[in-house]
Amino acid sequence: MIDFDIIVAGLADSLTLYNLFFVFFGVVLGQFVGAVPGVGPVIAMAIAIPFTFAMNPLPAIAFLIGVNKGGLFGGAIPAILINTPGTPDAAATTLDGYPMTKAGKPEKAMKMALYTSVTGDLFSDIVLITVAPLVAVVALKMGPIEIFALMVFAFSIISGLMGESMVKGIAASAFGLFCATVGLDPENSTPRFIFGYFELYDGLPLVSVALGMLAVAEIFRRLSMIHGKSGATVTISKAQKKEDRRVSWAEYWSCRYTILRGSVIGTILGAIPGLDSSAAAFLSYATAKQTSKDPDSFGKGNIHGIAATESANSAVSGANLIPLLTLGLPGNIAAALIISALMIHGIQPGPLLFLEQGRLIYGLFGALLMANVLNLITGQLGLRIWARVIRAPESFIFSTALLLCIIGVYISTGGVFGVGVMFVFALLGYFMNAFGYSVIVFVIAYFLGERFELSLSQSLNIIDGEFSILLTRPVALVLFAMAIFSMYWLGFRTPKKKG
Amino acid sequence: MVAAGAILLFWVIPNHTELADSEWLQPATLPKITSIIMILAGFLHFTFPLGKVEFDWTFSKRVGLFFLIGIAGLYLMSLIGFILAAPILITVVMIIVGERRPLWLISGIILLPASIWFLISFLLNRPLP
Repeated sequence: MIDFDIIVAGLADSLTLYNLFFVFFGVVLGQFVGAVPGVGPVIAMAIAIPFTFAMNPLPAIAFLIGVNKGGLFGGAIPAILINTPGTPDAAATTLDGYPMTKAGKPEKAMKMALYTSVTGDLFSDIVLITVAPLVAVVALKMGPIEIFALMVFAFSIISGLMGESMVKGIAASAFGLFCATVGLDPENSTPRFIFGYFELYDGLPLVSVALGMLAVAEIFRRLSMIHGKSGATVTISKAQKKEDRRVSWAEYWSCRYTILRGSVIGTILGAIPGLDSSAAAFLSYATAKQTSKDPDSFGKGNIHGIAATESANSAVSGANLIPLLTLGLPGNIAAALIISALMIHGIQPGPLLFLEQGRLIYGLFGALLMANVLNLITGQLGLRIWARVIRAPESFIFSTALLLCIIGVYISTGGVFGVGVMFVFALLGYFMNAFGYSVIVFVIAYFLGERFELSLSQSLNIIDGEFSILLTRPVALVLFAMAIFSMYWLGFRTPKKKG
Repeated sequence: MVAAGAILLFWVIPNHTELADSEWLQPATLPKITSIIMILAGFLHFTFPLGKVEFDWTFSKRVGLFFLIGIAGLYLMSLIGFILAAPILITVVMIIVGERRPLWLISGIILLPASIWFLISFLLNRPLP
């Protein structure tokens, strides 16, 4: 159990002006990039990671958390204004958000999205803060065999849930694990797949792989789609009624059950690795419509529709950190990027984190809560500004993003070799996406590769040829069985689209 | 995927890993396991194809073009430095995508590299290429 003094010290750390500034900066950046369709907080986080290298761990991670939280709301802005979700999780928000814009109530819709997003986020953060230390205690009792079994189970879930084909997901996982073996092997320190480049002794640069696969691949794709004058036009009428520009307390309170239901759905789904926030948003929307007294009004500008989607997709963000902080397993790509940032700062996420870095953990919890407050304030003030931002042409935005990626990776890796690796993985990421192989699964497998191999090695040494030892490890056996079941259920039972 | 896995298993792994005095886990063990999984997954997918394929050859050539521009821009940066190479890179990218508005061209070609230089080199005191 963590000392009360450490908890208080951690929370106090999060409330320093220095940390609050980075949380605020992250929220602002997140809302900005979330509002630009196609950019999104994941790309912003990926670009920002190398720049956080020079920072202390707490402001660095708090900044990334701020970007993620800001982006979750930011994605709703173009979804509501131009029927184009800024982020995938805002796709469901278009269903009632855009009709409200057409009805002359865009500000009302955006404010509803903001208030319910913050509420859902706060709910899952509170669950995270109360549940995570308990899960960590349980996780500490797990040995290498159990951890290996857990990782196999996590890979099976992630491979099946992300993307449209379990087989392709498994292939992407395997390829990600293979790329993680580049460099010195952890057991014997012999070089593998160096190809004569001494820069690869430490393996493929983490930031190069992440940025290349996630950011630069998408930048190349978006630039290739532009032909001639690019841009998006957004107009907000000045002749709006006052009640159409605000959300009253009565309107917000009338959605309380919808918001609570969405928050619970988002929190539960967020704690399961592999389920992204768009799944939570659609499930919450469908449930809200089914239980509504006026289901026909959904899809025509019902604020309950916005409340359902935004509370759910934002509740995922806090819950995603539960498996991340307690087991070292990322729940989604944003969590995977946070893992990479922690690793860059020499911090290994997992159950020991609460014992070894308790002050940092509670500092992060404080930063999470403050990010919600700052998200609310910034969103309230910035709604009109963000609406103008999305008018900037894609040619400028993606050129900016490309240059930032180059510079960020150059600084982080200390040379042009890392940038070259980034471009190679960008091309690889593009082709993987084009042929239906999930780059997210690849990146998560790559991040976990070293730990996976280490736990495999430890497990084999413990077993030492006596596989009957597994019978004395019921938790591991159950996890292996669940992995096989999930591969069958998600791979063969669940209908998928044919290629 | 089958071809990639086979190349890894039969050429890359044997030629780029070493034997070690380890009883259970050789340096090539996990790479071999993953490449075999890739081969099996490839055969499974070939037999039971699932999932979308959105590959367009013409579009991919355009993506390849931006990849080559990026590599060329990086090479140029290593030769003549960020200050001179970044504006050239951005100019090429924006012209190719069809941007012609002077305001946005000036913003991208001059203001953007200048802002990055100011932020990274001047404020943060970190080296640029």
